[in-house]
Amino acid sequence: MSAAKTYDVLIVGSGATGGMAAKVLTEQGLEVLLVEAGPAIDRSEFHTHSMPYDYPFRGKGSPKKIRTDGPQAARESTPFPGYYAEKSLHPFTTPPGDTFDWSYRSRILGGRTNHWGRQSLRMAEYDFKGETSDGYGVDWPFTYQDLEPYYDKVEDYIGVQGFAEGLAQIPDGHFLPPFAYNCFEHLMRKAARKQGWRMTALRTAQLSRAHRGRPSCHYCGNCGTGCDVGAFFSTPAVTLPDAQATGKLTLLTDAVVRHVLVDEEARAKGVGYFDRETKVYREAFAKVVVLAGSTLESAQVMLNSTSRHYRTGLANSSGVVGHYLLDHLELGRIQAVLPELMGNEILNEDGKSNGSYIPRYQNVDSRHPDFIRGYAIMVKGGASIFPGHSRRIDGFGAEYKRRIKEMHPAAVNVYARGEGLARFDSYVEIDKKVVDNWGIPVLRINYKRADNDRKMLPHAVQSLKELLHAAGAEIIHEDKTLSEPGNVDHHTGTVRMGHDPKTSALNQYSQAHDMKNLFVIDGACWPSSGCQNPTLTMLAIAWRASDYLAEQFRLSEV
Amino acid sequence: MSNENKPNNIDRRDAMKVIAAGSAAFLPLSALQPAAASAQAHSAAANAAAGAAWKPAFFTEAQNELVTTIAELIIPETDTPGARAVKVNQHMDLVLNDEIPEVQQAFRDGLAWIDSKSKQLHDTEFLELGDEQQSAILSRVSDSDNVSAGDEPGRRFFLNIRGRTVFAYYTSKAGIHDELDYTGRTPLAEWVGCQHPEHHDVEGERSQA
Repeated sequence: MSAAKTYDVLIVGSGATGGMAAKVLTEQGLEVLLVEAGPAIDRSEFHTHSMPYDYPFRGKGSPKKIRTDGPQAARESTPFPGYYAEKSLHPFTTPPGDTFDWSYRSRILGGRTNHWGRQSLRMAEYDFKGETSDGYGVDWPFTYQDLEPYYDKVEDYIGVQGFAEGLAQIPDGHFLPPFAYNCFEHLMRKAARKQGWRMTALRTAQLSRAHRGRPSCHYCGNCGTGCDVGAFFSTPAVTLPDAQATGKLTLLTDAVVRHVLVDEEARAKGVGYFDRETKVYREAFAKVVVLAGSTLESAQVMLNSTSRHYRTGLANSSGVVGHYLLDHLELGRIQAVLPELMGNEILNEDGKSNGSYIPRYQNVDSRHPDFIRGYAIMVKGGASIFPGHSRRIDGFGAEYKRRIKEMHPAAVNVYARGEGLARFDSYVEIDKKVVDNWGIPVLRINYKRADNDRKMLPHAVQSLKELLHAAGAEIIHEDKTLSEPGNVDHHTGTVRMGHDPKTSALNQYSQAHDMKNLFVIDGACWPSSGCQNPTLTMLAIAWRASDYLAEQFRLSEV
Repeated sequence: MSNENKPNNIDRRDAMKVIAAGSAAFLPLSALQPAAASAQAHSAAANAAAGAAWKPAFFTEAQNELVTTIAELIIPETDTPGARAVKVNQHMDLVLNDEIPEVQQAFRDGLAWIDSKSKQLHDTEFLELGDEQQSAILSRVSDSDNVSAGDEPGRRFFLNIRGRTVFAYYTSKAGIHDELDYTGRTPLAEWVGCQHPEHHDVEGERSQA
């Protein structure tokens, strides 16, 4: 890379949205520099088919490593540094007494697409119209219909298996043939129908047959360790090879971006970054800068990009940058066993690596008196590699051992995933007293729950129990709490889009109101979150924003 | 298998313009690969076979024997191996040795509680008791609805050592393959799902058709 070279577009972050932008922009002829903080990877080195006993700490990691780097980064089955970002190198702070779980953070080529949950659900029309639906928050600056063609394109491109259901809450898309249901899913579907709810297999970006040069899933079930054949969507398996095939992509790994550089006319001109290994400071230049390094990282870069022109952070005349931080809520977790399956032959049931889903049914056709928005129910179960129910039953000895085995094929776990509400006072800021491994000031995360979250909780827990009762299940453990803030790892918001530059930082194409040549295309741009898993929508938004960027670039409008 | 989709395979040597910001972009990966971890485990096994006796790093010899005995009471040998045979004590020793002092002390206190309860009831140490007497002590703290107030410390320890035993046992080769017949994490040609007509959600399938 010539130090003086100015690229057309510089993208920060190679996760889901950065990879998508790289593909779309290079295929339209733009010269792109894709900047990734972590190292490159080679998926042939993933430990996809390893077993717990292959590792000294059985894959879990040593207590010491868990303490210093976090439970995810400590995992022994992740072969690359930064597969989960090490807490010791990537600190952040919270107010005294508060916590925030950011342990799924990634600093690696492809980011979290290497280990994501793969669930690929469309958001509903009403999810883009919060204010219109119930008076809370804001509508998005575009509608479902605006995004629909991009949902179609993303599904066709990445490959999503699932059932069409005709439900408004999770609009149908272009699906590959669905994975067959396991035993517990058939039984739970019957139970859900008794409750008047529709349960469907989780739609996932896993290939149920070969698709666009990628092989079908081979059902080993260990997706979280990274897929060795690229059978689920990830940047390195899908978007990056296509971007590279254009000859227009330059990939810069091991480059930890500190801030966006701004020229005399208050326009973005590139980024300043540190070499991950040597910590030497360098700069890279482009006509357009796209931030796609994840919700929290994009906010951090913008808030660290202060200058004469942008004293409160980049493109922040609205004052909203850092605010309206969102995460999905996890509302209760209940473990049970299904008597019909007790003692059955133990089948290979975790190979498809996902369960089923009951879409949100609250506040869809009628208005609930206690809370707005709602939650969906996740249904997981069957024989897995570890018998989690062993910790939930009494006893010891041969009878205990026998019961663990008897219950193993009968296990079912349910939990609810709800929409958290956007609040101005749920925000991130720069903690000037703490820096990371590269001397970059870190985020202080102030995440506030809404009363609505707490009001939704008992309703969700009750629904989980009703579902299990309808299935005739025996409940063995109830956790009736809201999960730790940040724990669902569906962070969105902090640089929200909107029509009004006074109350939003970006327009509907993720372009900054304050500077035409800055785009923020990751989850940071979301004004509200729905309760569906976000990645499919992020990919659609990134594609749409990239199409707009390319067009504006051709018109010399950025 | 990784060559089957070569067109999409990332080959950083020839297919792409990659710049690593650093001169040493990659850590030595060999140190992190499961093959290496397995090799480590195998060499430990080889040492054991060669007579190089394993020695506890955290437990005393007496504690090690006590832990091994309690673990076998929790997951005994049946038609499959028990906790003693899969050496769950060695795994507990490895993990506890790496723990913070509070966690280490809680475990030691728990072992001491077992012996003190044994002395209180039978005037001798736990390891001197017969199987039935040993089991009777664990039974005092194994039932969540039936623990006397004075035995609460023992209850906490029971859950502590049972959790560690279960983790070590069901992540071992014997626990995963022999006891639970787990067949996952291997490539399959197709996904067939539930093959039991009596489970099938016939009405649901009709509504989907």
